[in-house]
Amino acid sequence: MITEFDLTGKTALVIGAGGGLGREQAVGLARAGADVAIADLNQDALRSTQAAIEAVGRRVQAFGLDITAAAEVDGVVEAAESRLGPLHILVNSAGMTRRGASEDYDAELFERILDTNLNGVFYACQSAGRRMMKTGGGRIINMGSIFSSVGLAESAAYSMSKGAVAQLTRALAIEWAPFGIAVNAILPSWFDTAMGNVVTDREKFYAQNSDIPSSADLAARTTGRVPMRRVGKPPEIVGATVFLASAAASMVTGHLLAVDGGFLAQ
Amino acid sequence: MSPVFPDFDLTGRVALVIGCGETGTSLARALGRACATIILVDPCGKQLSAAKARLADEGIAATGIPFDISGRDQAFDLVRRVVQSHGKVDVLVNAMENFLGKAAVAITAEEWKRSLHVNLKSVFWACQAAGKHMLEQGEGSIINLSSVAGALGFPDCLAFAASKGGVEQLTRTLGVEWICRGVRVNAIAGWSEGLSGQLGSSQSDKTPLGRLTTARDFEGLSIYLASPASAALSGEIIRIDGGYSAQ
Repeated sequence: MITEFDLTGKTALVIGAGGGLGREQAVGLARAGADVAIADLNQDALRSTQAAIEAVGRRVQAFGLDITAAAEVDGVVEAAESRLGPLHILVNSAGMTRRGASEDYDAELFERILDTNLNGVFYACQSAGRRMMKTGGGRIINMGSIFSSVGLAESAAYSMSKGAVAQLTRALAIEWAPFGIAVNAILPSWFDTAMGNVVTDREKFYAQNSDIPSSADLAARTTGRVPMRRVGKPPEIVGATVFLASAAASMVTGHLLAVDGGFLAQ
Repeated sequence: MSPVFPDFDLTGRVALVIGCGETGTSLARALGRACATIILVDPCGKQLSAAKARLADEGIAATGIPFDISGRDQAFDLVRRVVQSHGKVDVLVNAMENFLGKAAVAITAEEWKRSLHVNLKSVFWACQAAGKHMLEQGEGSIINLSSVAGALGFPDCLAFAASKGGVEQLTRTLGVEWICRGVRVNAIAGWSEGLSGQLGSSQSDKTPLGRLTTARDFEGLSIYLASPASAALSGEIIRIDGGYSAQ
């Protein structure tokens, strides 16, 4: 058994744990031994995550949370600490996207995506970071995207938010390294989640409405851009998450770890 | 303009430059020297007249518009006004900057939002409004300003760095999305006044060039990006940082 990955005795907060990759990350951290506070805008969606964490024998606390409200975020971080103990690990996994032509993109939707994907991450990092400074350090894991690094048509708000998250990650890593706080990001490609499908469905639309010869099979068009020729399965995000949260990554900070089937390497 | 390479000539082109700080004024001067018609936009009237005076000293007549882009509607309003007065917009330069030099733990939610608003959201609104017009005319070039902090981490400039990371991705996304319809979007990334002021003395020794770059160093590139000389270039972030990020 390699003990560097053991998170026994650690406390984590996973924001956006009601579904998708956040749910996998919360349960994955629990399987590695951490007690986990879970938060999501949709509190009902946390039930199955909570049950899965209880099933592996770890302590869990669930919180409804609108991450676009700074005070609410701070309240959840505080409540998580008071119930489970000092926070060691923060995972920012809440996010949203909608695709649409940039020149006509809806103003309200644009604001909502930036509020959720970027402002919320800042509020959570700041709140957790202040506490981690006092307790000698911690690990922050933000969710970027392959679109933190490359452009995707009709996805300006999402790409902007994820590019900003990448820089927020690097800037905090530099600033907080002296305090023992490591800040890294995971950049997933398309995954088989509700959000991944927003992207994939749009690609399907393109394929059906374009003269691309292979348009009959559009799954193939999206996955065809990934060297591994497939989308990710949600459990495949767990390894990167546990690694960055664990002693195995003690020298790693400011890093953007692509879990993308080779997409960004091409 | 001497016809060294005619593709760099901006005669007959209308350039809308948003932001009249050091960077905006330098880029306006460069585009003006390449014979573009210059329209300067700044929320602050005082900065606007100083910038116009600087350009006038070099024989460049610029139109000044005091205007604050607080949202999508204002940006579309601005472009409509310029199209009414000048017939079109060929070049957009986004050079507004709000530099917040502060420890991450001390930034208030209001400061964070204000910085993101000026450095990132208003850039999108300007791109959207000008871009829609350029797509209709089938041609146009947008130049955004990123920063060395758009790709590297530095302490005590979190809101600025996050904004610039967003600007780089905005640039790549629009660059990919619009190039097939004739509209190109690129960015210049170097040192700006705020960041240089905060980190300058500690970073110039680490720069292969031996000094930090200034807005003057971006002038040639801005003419290239605005002109047909760069017709096949889009979604690029060009780093003018004296080799800083290459090492």
